Amino acid sequence: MQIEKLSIQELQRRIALYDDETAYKELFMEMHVPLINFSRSFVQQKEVAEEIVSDILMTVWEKRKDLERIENLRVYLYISVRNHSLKYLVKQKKINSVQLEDLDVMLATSNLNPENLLISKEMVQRVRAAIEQLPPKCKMVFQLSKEDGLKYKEIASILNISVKTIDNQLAIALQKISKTLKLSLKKPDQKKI
Amino acid sequence: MQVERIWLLIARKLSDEASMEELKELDMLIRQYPDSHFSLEVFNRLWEKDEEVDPADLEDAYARHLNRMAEKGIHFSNGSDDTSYMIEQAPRRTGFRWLIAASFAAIITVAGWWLLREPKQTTVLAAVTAMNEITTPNGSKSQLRLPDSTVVWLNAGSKLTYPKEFGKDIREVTLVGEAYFDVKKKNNMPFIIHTHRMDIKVLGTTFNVKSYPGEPTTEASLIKGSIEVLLKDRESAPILLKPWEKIVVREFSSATVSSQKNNAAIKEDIKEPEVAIKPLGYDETNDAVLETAWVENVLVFNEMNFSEVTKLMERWYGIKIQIQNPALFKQQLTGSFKNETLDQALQALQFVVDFDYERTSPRLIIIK
Repeated sequence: MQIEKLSIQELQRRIALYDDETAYKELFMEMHVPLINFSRSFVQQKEVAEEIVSDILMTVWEKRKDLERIENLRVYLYISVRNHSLKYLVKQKKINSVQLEDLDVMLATSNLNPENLLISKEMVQRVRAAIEQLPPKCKMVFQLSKEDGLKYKEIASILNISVKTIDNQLAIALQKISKTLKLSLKKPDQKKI
Repeated sequence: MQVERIWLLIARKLSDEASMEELKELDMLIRQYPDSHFSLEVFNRLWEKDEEVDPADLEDAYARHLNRMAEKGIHFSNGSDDTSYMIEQAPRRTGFRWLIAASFAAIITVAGWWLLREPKQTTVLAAVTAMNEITTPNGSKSQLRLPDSTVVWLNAGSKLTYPKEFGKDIREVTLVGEAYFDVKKKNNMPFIIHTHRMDIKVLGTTFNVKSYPGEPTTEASLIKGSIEVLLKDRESAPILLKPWEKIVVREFSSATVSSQKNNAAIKEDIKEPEVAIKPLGYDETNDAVLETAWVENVLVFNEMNFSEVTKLMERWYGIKIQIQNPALFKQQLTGSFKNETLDQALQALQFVVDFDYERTSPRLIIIK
């Protein structure tokens, strides 16, 4: 059982119905960092990412009367960031499309310290390296699931891939990371029986 | 094959996507592959959240964001109009405000009653008494922040209602169930909590209120600051609580009525006083205050009957427990659960109390 953070849904309702500025600030505080990291995976530069996220959150306030029509605001924000970031790339690089495989995923891997993980410093370095070396799609799924706490369904609509792919990619990520920990899974010898 | 299956299941477990069957399956697989237990442990810890974001950085980013909004001419007052007005209010008017609040509430009630009889006017009614309602089902808790920045943790099976206009002139909430309040001090504006048996008036404090329907007692436990408790249905002066004290109010009206009817027999049952002030309990193993341990995700019971403990567990885990052996009811128990699953908790109880249990469905436990 876990205490949930003040839900996005609750903030959304308060902004839409009562023009609640405190709720809006809270929404900003909650979403700013994950959205920026997400945008940076596409656009690379922090300043550009910040501008994109700021524009999107601005629209949320401007169009707050329509906010109640959005079913899942968190997912909506990620998708908006994805679209804006892609638009920026297309404009900048004069390219027509961007594949998930081309992304340079920005990781915000917190919690990578030896005391927390009960493993040695070297091991932590290896875990970090292993995460960095994951293929982009895998890394993105890992980031959205672990750091941003999104559900499979939500990640699926944000990245426009199937839930099954996410299921597999995350399992692959864990397997690869644990390999660096030399945590191969073996059945114990069953001599005694 | 099986190894891949383990990773798939671990991934689902970490992302909170695993069904109960899958968790059971993972449990079994881990028993077959004991090595995986360690990696699961490492990943569990890797998955835990720790806030590394510097709040000052976030505040800066927010300020930049508001600047950009201002540049684009989007109206955002950022607390510049109504809040400052509140602070300038003279302190003497507190009592008067209470009166206004009370009469305003009366007007709403009367208006509400009157409008209810006029079916055409129901939309108006909704506008007058619009309420926000937050409920937590059994088996889950939630944390919410009210518009005045007061933080409320709502325990399982509880409901908090507050008017949509909350914080403009008065701060009032109604609670059914249990909640832990960290009330932000706001000049001249007390925070009032209404429950079934008492009203609690505070300025800025931290405390816990427990008032579940169907339970014989209502409690308010104070951690810091001071609170004023006004008991309903009886004429007494407000009771002031000091930190580390709690007030326990027992259901009295029904008991008094029935004791008048069939006198002596029932009178003997009423051993506890109707109202008592007690010190808060302390649980050494968890270094926690008993009354508020639930906020830290610890379920604590101290010299409680088995049936009371199962009642707590019903709310905690969101299940139903039926006890078929009446001999178990009065067994006294002391203990706590932190991260235990339901099965682990039941197995722990089996060490102390002799019983068998059967999980007839995901949500029903029969104890024999």
